[in-house]
This record gives sequence, structure tokens and C-alpha cells, in this order.
Amino acid sequence: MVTGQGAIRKHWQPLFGSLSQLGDGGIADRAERARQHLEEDGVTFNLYAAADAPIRGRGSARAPGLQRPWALDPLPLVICTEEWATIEAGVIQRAHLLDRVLADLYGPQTLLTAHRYPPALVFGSADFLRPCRNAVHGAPTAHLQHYAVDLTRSPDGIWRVVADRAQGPAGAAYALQNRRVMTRVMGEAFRASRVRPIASFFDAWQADLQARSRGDRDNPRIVLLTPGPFNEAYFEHVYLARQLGATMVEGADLTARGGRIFLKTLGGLQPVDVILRRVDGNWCDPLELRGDSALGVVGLLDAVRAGNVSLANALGSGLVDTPALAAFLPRLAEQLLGEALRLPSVATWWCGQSYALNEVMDRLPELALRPAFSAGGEPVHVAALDAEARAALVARLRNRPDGFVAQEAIVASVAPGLGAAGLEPQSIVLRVFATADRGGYAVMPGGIARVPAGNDPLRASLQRGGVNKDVWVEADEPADGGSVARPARNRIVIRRTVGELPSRAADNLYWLGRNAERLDNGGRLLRAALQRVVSGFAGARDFVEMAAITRVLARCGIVDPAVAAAPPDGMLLSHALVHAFAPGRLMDQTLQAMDRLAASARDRFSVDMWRTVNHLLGDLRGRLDWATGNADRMLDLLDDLVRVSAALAGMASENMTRGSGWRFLDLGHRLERAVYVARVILGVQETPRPNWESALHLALELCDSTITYRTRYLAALQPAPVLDLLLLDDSNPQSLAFQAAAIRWHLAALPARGAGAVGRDMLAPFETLVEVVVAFDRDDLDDTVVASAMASLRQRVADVEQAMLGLSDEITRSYFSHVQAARAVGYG
Amino acid sequence: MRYRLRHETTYDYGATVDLSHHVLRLDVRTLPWQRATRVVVDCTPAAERRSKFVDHFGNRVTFLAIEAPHDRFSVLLDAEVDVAPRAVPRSDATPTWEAIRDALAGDGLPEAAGESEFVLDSPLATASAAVADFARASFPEGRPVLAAAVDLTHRINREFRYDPTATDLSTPLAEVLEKRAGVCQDFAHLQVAALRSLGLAARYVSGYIATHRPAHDDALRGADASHAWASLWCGAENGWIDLDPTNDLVVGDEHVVAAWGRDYGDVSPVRGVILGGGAHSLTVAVDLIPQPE
Repeated sequence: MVTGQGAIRKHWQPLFGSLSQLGDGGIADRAERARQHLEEDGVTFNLYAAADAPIRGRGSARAPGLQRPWALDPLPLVICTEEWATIEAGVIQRAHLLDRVLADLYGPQTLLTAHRYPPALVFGSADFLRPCRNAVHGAPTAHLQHYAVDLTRSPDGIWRVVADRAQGPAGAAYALQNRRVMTRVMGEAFRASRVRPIASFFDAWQADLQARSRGDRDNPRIVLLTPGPFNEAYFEHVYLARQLGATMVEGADLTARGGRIFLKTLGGLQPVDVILRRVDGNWCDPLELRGDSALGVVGLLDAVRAGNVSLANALGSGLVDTPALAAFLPRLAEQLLGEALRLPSVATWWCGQSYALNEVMDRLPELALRPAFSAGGEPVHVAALDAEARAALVARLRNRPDGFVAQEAIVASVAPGLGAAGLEPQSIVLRVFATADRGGYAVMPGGIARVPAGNDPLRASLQRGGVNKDVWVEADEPADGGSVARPARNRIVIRRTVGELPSRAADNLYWLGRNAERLDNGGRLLRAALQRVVSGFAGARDFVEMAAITRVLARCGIVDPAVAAAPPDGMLLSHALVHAFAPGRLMDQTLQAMDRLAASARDRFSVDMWRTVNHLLGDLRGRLDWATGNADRMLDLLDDLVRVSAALAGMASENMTRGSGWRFLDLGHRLERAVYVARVILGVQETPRPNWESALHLALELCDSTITYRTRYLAALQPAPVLDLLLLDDSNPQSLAFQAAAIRWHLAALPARGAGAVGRDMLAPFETLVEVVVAFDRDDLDDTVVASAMASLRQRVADVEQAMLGLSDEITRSYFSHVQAARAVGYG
Repeated sequence: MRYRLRHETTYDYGATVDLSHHVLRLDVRTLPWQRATRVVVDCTPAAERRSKFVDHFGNRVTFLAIEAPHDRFSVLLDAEVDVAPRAVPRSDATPTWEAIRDALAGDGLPEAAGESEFVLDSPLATASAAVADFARASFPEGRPVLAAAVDLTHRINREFRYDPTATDLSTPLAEVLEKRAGVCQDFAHLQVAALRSLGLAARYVSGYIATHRPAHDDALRGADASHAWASLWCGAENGWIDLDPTNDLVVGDEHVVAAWGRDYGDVSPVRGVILGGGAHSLTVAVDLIPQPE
């Protein structure tokens, strides 16, 4: 940043000009705004408790671990044109080289037979996937479609590679997210600095993925295969899928038929042409690779061999992530490319050769040792070990030298960053991204700079966290008038809308709808009950209403039946109400389910909608402990909860396109509400006749229909008009008739299964509700008439409740059932 | 010697299987001394998709997908194979085992790059300390490699009991060592791991052994199912020599080689993934019958 003469380098000057205007307080303020933006966008990196899990990401069975917020320093790393040109050319060359290495090691293996690369580093590596040998025929860039590299700048000013990432190079979408936030919080400095834009990198990436389709070339289906919402980088998967026009899928969403890969959608099986892989290679096909994987697709390798699907990166690409490769790259560059290696690695020795081992033993205190056969192995700095630990390490090294790689323990050069006490110099690691592009490679003019934990560049990885910075690459030449962006290419990339709804996504949305409605209904019920508790029991009417509410609460599973049978003004009930969100209770489960389902369905929502959902749910969750056990606070929380539900419903209604996804979400809402209204009526109707007025009043309150009733009927409450409003009036969005009409409409629009629309005949019980109202709608309501009318009411409404539960099963069977687990068989 | 080979595998499923995929290593490798004049692999029900490829080890592999519901899956290998006696060097004329070991190490870049793969541990044949201890007795300093390996073969045969009830497919090597009992697969894994513990290259061979021997009264062990044995690299001049610890012999013309790999996991004859199926039962029948020339 500083020249030999102590002056600020030219390309940093615009940034510092802006910073000096801001002052320390202004910079801290920008940092806080960046934090808020990221939090609202739900940008996180999930962490796991188990050490082995981070890379593997075991699908949906696991609860989410810690979510580490993505921390962004408002001070970018600024790189000048000349310096960037060196990095860019070096990364392009390196991508070509690694692609050639992969093509050879998964093909003819002449690097081994000609003694250019140690066979132990291939055959001993868990990332050498034997079933993938000769599976892909190696046109240039066929193995390495995209690539990331971690660089650090030595004190001599030279950028050196500390790690190559070819398995599932993460971070490109975080870089885009960083840039989005930076242009908002550091806008003046950004504009003054003439920064190269990075968005066109994703256009090139998408175009290259599309060009890999061997099936439909005009409109290929690209999917992003993710381990699922609990993977540490799920945020990036969603964001990336959106940038690249890919459909988010998990292994269970895909199936192999006739040597092709298909996406299971509501409309049937749809062919998949290109898979952007975010599942480690070994987990991608339980038939030929790891048999215990639930993340992959049986038959995927067969489809790859047949050339019917392209994977990016090719299966097995993780082989070149080994740190040992760096020791051989300079010679490989000369042999495979006929060029000198442009971008050096940090000095690296593979200890499986005696000359290397001798040198390592001589220089031991300056080195860090790490396992040769796994990319994720922690480096051990020899200098940091005591005598005993060092002796133990040397013994292990002597015993199996080929299992070790030694790397120079480098001191990274520093860049200005925001520390606890304001601006301070921090050592940084730069991650740069490349994508295949028309037979060559293109590099994102930017990236992510990170301040690694413990200032050790060898330890830098996204999983290990640390603070992130945007990377500003200075534009080549000042355009007249200081304009910024020169488009990287003239071509306009047409973005497809997301394709047919995967069955699993439909499943998630349906249950999201049901749980959201359940949360809302539960909130209303609990609020009605608690209001009566806090205002004290003034008269008999309060007792009657309270008894009815608790019956409904018990019917809905929110309190235990024993609680419903207890005295309405007793401790048991009030205790149950203020602990309704305790762990394991229905309301707690409902909130948890919403969290999980909202995360899984995240790719179906707009960015703004997701931000709001995430924010509102997070806020509710954060106040549960505060509210539990205290009636006044719980009432506050319930008020908010009902408001949140209304906001969510409003957003879904305003922001979601009326595709199958929205239909399933709404279907879940409607079905759950029909069940709720039925349960309210069944709970309330047990009230003895002298208290009917209270019961009717309560039914209207719980179904949010009081105002509608009052605007129509100024007179006292009577059974027939109340029931008409709640059962038959299809203009009342709370009525059973309204739910029935909506459900019927959705079912008719969804793809048919077998003979006709799914579940239509199950709506018949709604038709009989008219008889209930007719039974009450007369002047001579004597005991006999009432008894028969009440019997009809109970029967018809209970039929509706049962029909809805049956319909839910039918929908599950018809649309979501093919998510079935596969099993391995075999013998000797 | 000419053989007729039949290997039939049948799965009966307790519940209907909606979709199944299988990878078959049911074939006969083409080798200088072994050639199939006819190979037919047939499955019932018929497969909607069938493809073939050659794997990393050079084995011929068949991939099958059955996409219609089925309650039973049966696959038959029917082949006619000519096997000539192999040239086996005099065991005491082979290089010392240390010379072979050093050639395979080659200070990181061995001449025998491909062979060196089989020095490394594999999931089912890992050279533990116990395995290394067992191997050491047959490998005194300077002993010719094949002589030492033949002695190891003999010791496995003598010290371990052939007992199909002692182990199953998932029994680890440590338990085989402890029980001193097992079947051909266990003995082959033990021998492979033992040879690897010394830095030698050993692979696992799956195949078949003659059901009846015209000149002998006794049947060879391992004839009722597919068989397995070990193969040792004895230097560039001698190549790979097969050793059958189950029958204590150097393999000649009574064995038919189907496939080889690092261990059983690389060569299992029928491996599949099914959707549905419930409990299943498995029947395997193998015949390798000498034919009149």
C-alpha cells in the first residue's frame, strides 16, 4: 500500500481520500451498516460441531449447526492494473495446467508412466476416484470448469499460491454479495476508485455451463446439486443458482433413466443436461462411489460415461487439491504447457522423495507440515512445537515420509483493515475465481480477501471464518468523464426463469404453508386465552369462554387434554399458556419447522421476501426465552407473531408468481385453516345452550370474523347467521366455503395423477354444510330441533376435519411420494 | 484346458423393487494364457439399459438398469474358456524380496509406476501391525520373493481353518487373524495385506476354480461359489504370479480369472442399488466344468 518513499500508492489514493472525509467514526458506522445488510440478507456460513462434517455436508437429517454470520470489513483490498494482470495471467495458466493434469491422471496416466508425477500421490489419495477413470474424455477445460485459488503476497511483493481449490471452489457468490453491500455502504469511495465490475464473470460462467449441454443446446437445463440446507455454504448455493440460471436440487430430486439424468418435477421427469456440483465427488453415486451416500444419484456415472450429462467440475477433480502437487507444478507446466509457471506456490516439498526429505529435515523449524493425501489437513508449524511434540512429529515423518508435505511457513504482507482500535495493518489471503470460457479461462476481476484466523495464510479457508473484504481491481484506463464499467463482452445472456417445480420443493412449500397457518392460528388462540387470564375472571361469561378456548387449544394439540379439563382460572392452565413455546411443545415444533422449511425453500423466494422472512422469524425466535413464563410479555410476543403471520401471508400473495410453488404454499395455508375453523367450531359447540351468545361471540373472535358479522348484523348473535358466515359465506376469507373453493381451484390447476385431479371427491363434505345452517335457520328452535341441529353440526364439521386430513395424505402420496430411500445390495 | 463356466446369481425380494441399478464384474479377463471363446451375460427381467465399460484395473464391467417393477432379479454368466498352463519361474530363482520392494518404492518415482498402486493399503486389505508380524516370519533377509510368498501361502493354508461359518462379507481382517479361520476371500485379503506390509505389490483376484479335477479324487475348495486368491508382483521379468492360499498352490490352469483389483471392494461380481424390495434372499450357483478338447 505504501511506496518505498512512504507515500500512499496511486491506486489506494481515491479510497483514502474518501476515508479521510469519513473519519474513524464514519468508518465504524459503515462497518455497522455492512453488518446489518449482511444480516438482513441472511448471509451466513454454517458451522458444524463435528470436525469431519464441514466439507461433506450430510443432507437434511441434521439440525443446523452454528450459523456464522458473514463478516465484511468496509475497507476493500485495492489492486492496481499491473499487479492484477500478473495474477490474472497466472491463474489462467494454472487452471489450464490443473485441467491437463486431471485429464491425464483420469485418462492415460502418462505423467505416472513417464515418471513425471509420483504414483503414490494419485493411488494413495482418497480423492482419486477410480470409477471415474476414463469416464470423461478430455477436451480442454472438460475436467476443470471452474476453479479458485488462494494467494498471499510475500514481503517481497510477489503473490504466491497457498491452495488450489478444484473440488467445489466456494466463494464466488460471496464475492458478489460483498460487492453488493460495498456499493451501498462505500459508494463514494467505490465510484472514485474506478473499480472493475465483477457481474459479467457470472455471465461467462453461465454461458460456459450452457455450452456443455449435449442434449438441449438452445435451452439446456442446468441444476446446482447441493448437499442441502445444512451445508455450510448453502447460502452461496442458492445465490449462485440464481446467478447462473440453475435449478437448486438435492440428490433425491434426480433420477437416472435410460442413461440420462432427470429432475423429478410435479409435471413428471425432466431431462438434466448440466450439473454444477457442490457435493464432493465421492458422494455423488452410491452405486459406484461411496455406497453410504444419501447425497448422490444412482447411475450418475453411467450417464457421465454415456456423455449424456456434464458435471462441473468433473467427478474426481478434488485430486489436484492436494498441497503436494505444488512441489511438482513448475516441471509439469514446462512438460504439459511448454511454459514456465507464472504464479509460484509457496515453497513445498513432498517428503516421499529422499532429496526432499533431507531438505525438509535441514529446515524443519522454518516449515509447516501437513498430510499429503487430504486437502483439508491442518498445517502443523514445527517452530510452535515443544521438544517432545517435535520429536514425535519427526518420528512419524521418518516412518511414513510419503504421507507428509512440508510448506514454508510464510509471513504474509499486510493491507489496511478495520481492527478493534480503528485502522490497522492486517495480513490477508486473496481468493481468486476462474471459469472456463470458450475453451479457455476467464478470471473474476475481484474476489474475496480474508484476514485468516491466527494470521496464518496456510490455515485460510472459508470454514475457518475470519473477516472478509471486497477486492477492488483498478480499471485499466481512465475513461473520459471517469466512467467505471466497460462491459466485458457484447453478448447478452438470456436468463431463463427457474424451471418446473421439483417435487421436493413442492413438498417443502406445502408444509411451509401449513406450518405458517398453524403458527398464526396458535398465536390467535393463545392470545385470546391469555387476554382473559391477565384481565382476571370477572364473571361467569369469562369462565365459559375460557373453557371453550382451552377445548380448542387441546383439539389443536397446543395444550394437553388434561389441561383443558382443569379449572379455567387455575395455575395449571395459565402455566401451560405461558410455556406454550417450551421445547418439544407443538408451537415450538411449528416455529422450528418454519425455520427449516423456509431455509429449504429459500430459492423459491425473492431476495427481499427472504430477508423479511429471515428477519421476522429470527426476531420471534430471539424473544421466546424472554417471553416464556411471563403472561404480559407472552401477550406482546403473540401480538407480534400474529402481525408477522399477516406480513408473511401478504408478501407471499404480493411477491410470488402464481406458479405451482405458490399453489402448494397456499394449498397448505387453506387446508390448515379449514382444519382450524372446524376445530374451533367443534370446541365451541360443546358450550351449554344458556351460554350460546358467549360461544358464538368466541367463534367469531377466534376466526377473526367479528367485524364482518357486526357490519352485517347489528342485532344480537344468533346461531344461523354466525354459522352462515363461518361455514358457507365464500366471500369471508375465514370461512370453510372459502377454503374449499381455493383448494378446489388449486387441485384443478395442478398436474393430474391417474384418473382426474387429485382429491377432488374428498371435498364433498363441504357441500353438506348448508344443511347445518338450514337446521338452525328457523323460528321454532325447541329442544328437539336444537338437539338434531347440533348433532348435524358436530357430524358435518367433524367430517370436514377428517376429509382435510385425508386430503393432506392424498396430496403427499400423489405429489411427494417418490422421495424413497435406495439401498445397496451385493455379494461375493 | 477348456472349461464351461456358469455363474448364476438370483435375488428374491420380499417386496416389489421399483427401480434397480447393477454393476456386474461378471466376465473373463483376456490374458496371455486365458481366452474366452464365448461369453454371455443374461439377466431377468430384461434391462431397460445396458452399457459396458473397462474399469481402472482393466476389468470389463456391465452396467444394468431395470426400470420396471420386479420381485426377482437373476443374472447368468455363461462362458467357454480356454486356459493354458502359465509359465511360473522357479521360486528360488526370483529376485530377493528387498530388491522388489526397493524397485516399487523407487524413491517416489518408481519404474513400475502402475504396479506400485498395489503396495498401498486399500479399505479391505490394510497392513496392520498384526498382519505385518504374521508376514515377517516368511520373509527373512535376502530370501527370493516368490519362495518367501509361497511359504506365506503355505502358512496361511496350514494355520487357518477353512470355515464358511466363521466369517461373512463384512468380517474385518483383524477378526480373521484372531479366529484363525475364514474363507477364500479372507485368506486372499490376509495374504494381500501381508505382502503389502513388506512393501510388496499384491492384488486381489476374483475368479473361479475347477469344480472337478479329472486326475484327483478331492475337489478343490472354493468351487461352489466364486473364488478369490492373491497375486504378487515378482519384478519386471517375472510379472505377476498368482497364489491361492485356500488351496496352498501356485495358480496354474485350474483357475479362471474374472477380475482383479486392490481388494474385494473393487471386484465384487454383482453390486446393486435398489428402490424398495424389503428383505431379500440371495442364491448363487457356480460351475466350472472341464470340457473335452
